[in-house]
Amino acid sequence: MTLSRYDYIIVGSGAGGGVLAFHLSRAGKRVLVLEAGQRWQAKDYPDNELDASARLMWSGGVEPSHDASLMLMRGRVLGGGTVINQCLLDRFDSVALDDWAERSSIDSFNVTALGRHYDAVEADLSLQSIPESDWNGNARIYADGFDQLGYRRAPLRRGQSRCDVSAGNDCMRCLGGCPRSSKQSMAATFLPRAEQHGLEIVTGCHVHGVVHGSAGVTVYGRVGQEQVQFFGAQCVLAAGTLGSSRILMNSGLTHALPALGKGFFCHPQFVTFARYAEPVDAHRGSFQALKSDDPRFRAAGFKLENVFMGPVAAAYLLPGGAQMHQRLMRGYRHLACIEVAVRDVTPGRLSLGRNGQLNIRKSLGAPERRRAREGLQVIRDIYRVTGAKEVMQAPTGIGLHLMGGCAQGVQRDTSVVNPEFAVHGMPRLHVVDGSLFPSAPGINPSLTIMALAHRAAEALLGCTLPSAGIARGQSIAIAEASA
Amino acid sequence: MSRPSSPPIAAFSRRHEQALARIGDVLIPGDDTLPSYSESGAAALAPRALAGARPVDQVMMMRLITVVGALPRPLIALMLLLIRAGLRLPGLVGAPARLLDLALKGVIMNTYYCGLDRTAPDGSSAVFQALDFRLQMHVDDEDAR
Ligand SMILES: Cc1cc2nc3c(=O)[nH]c(=O)nc-3n(C[C@H](O)[C@H](O)[C@H](O)COP(=O)(O)OP(=O)(O)OC[C@H]3O[C@@H](n4cnc5c(N)ncnc54)[C@H](O)[C@@H]3O)c2cc1C
Repeated sequence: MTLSRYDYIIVGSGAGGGVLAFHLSRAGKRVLVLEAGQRWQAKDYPDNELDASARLMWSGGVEPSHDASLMLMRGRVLGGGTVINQCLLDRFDSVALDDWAERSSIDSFNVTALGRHYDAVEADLSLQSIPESDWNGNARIYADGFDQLGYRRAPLRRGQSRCDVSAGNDCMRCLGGCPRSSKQSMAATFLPRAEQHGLEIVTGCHVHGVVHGSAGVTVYGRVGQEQVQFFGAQCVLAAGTLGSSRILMNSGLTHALPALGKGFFCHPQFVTFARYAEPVDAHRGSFQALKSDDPRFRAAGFKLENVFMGPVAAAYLLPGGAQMHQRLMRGYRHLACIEVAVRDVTPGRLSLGRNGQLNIRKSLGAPERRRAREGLQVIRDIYRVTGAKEVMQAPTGIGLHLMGGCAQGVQRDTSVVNPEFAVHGMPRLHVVDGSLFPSAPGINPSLTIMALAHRAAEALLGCTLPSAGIARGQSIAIAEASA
Repeated sequence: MSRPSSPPIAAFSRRHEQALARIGDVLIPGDDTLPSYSESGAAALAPRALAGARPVDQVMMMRLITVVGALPRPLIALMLLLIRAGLRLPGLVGAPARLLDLALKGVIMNTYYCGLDRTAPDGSSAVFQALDFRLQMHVDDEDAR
């Protein structure tokens, strides 16, 4: 059998893979995306938490760290994490980027140089700040607490186009995929535009490994029970932190790449609920509206998330059993929730176990525990001054921002990927996703992953891409012409 | 295009279902508004909930449910209490408690609170009715891309 040859094979269709696939396809390259998850039509996304976990996420919902102190979550669906995330899109500040520049010896990790890539990605997305008119009870408690205690807050900026919250839509549903295609996931934005430029996608394709040769890269895996192989002049791993690290390890590259799997971060999050006498209805409307914007929190290494969750997740995270559990759940509408997200500095480590499974070694060190404690104290203060009847802290932590493992940098002993996005010593194999992060930024990661994908597209194509906004205009023009 | 399917795990038998219902009733015995776990019929959803788990985890889950579900009810209650007490133990010492909690509480809460029971008199979810929970989302044809 002759294998078709692609200019680029991209493994993974999330924040990194989606943006990259668009720019390479638009430049006229023959591009194939291989994605382990399935393709969904927006209106068919699951309408309940059980199916959303089982069908859109890896391992049926959560993957525990080695000591199960953190429950990690990642998307397994066309569009990756961008389908199941909250699509809060923030630029990194100089605190995060200066640290990256120092660790990686890559000078272009700075606010100005990355600014052009942020501009380009943002011009291709619909971004909206959540207005006060869309606040629910949980946001009001958050704002009230911040104001009384003298902390600075700011509205959240989200990738969304037409949520129509005033008409009664509840955005929490979109954590299982947005049926209105309002949330700016890759499945609603860059991927369909890339397909208009000829992108080919194979879903349900689990990639096991790659073989780097002098003429190209062979990618092998399985679709259902069938073993498959694809051949590309270049291959880009965009399978996310756990996915890309694992593929490189499976490919026998652990010894060649001493930094592989090191420097894993996840912004550990700790949820605290409070019960109020009156209904809070934290699940209604824009269920996240505000963020902490206090320089003291940034300096201390944490932020406070105004967040909530569906009954399944709340029931799992609330403490207590039997009578206490039932009492708290009956009062679901009276619950408020704030989460402390820690900028972690103690690196975790990814490795392959004897059974071929990925081991995720991630402990909370003294700095993370201290940061969490400080954040939790502020949360308790907020609940106290806003009249909460009862405060309950979840016993386990969560990790939603999976980062590192294939850090980008100049030195081979401390990084896996060079400044041009190629794996050290393998010019045809690249990595473009959250695994590139040299450290935890303490800021929502996905916009920066997209910006890095834009930068990677320029590195791969060897040219500066057309200025911001043109990309979307062209896609739409093509769609109209072919309609 | 039809919805992507993920087949429920075939090996999850009626016996597993009954065992899970026994454990579930200890965590959610029911009260004047909430149905008990077994009344809700939630255990029947377990194969659907476990369909996305790794095969090795599916096998472990079925073994765990069989063993714990065969214990007398007071022992199940004691075990769940010990698990809860161990959740906050640091590092590897607390790992068994957290993993057992994820396995047992995870599947029980997932199947019970997902709103797929149809046990209210009007055929809707009795659990969601008790919580007074409903998410609203208008989806028109334009969204069906
Ligand atoms: C519930 C939740 C809420 C979040 N909210 C936010 C938020 O508001 N803002 C924010 O910035 N970030 C948020 N995040 C994090 C954000 O979604 C991720 O950081 C981002 O999607 C990572 O992008 P990525 O390209 O690295 O990988 P992903 O988006 O995870 O994409 C990787 C893709 O590769 C596929 N893949 C993996 N392995 C293989 C393989 N072997 N073969 C084939 N395909 C494979 C996966 O199925 C996946 O589709 C959230 C995450 C979660 C889980």
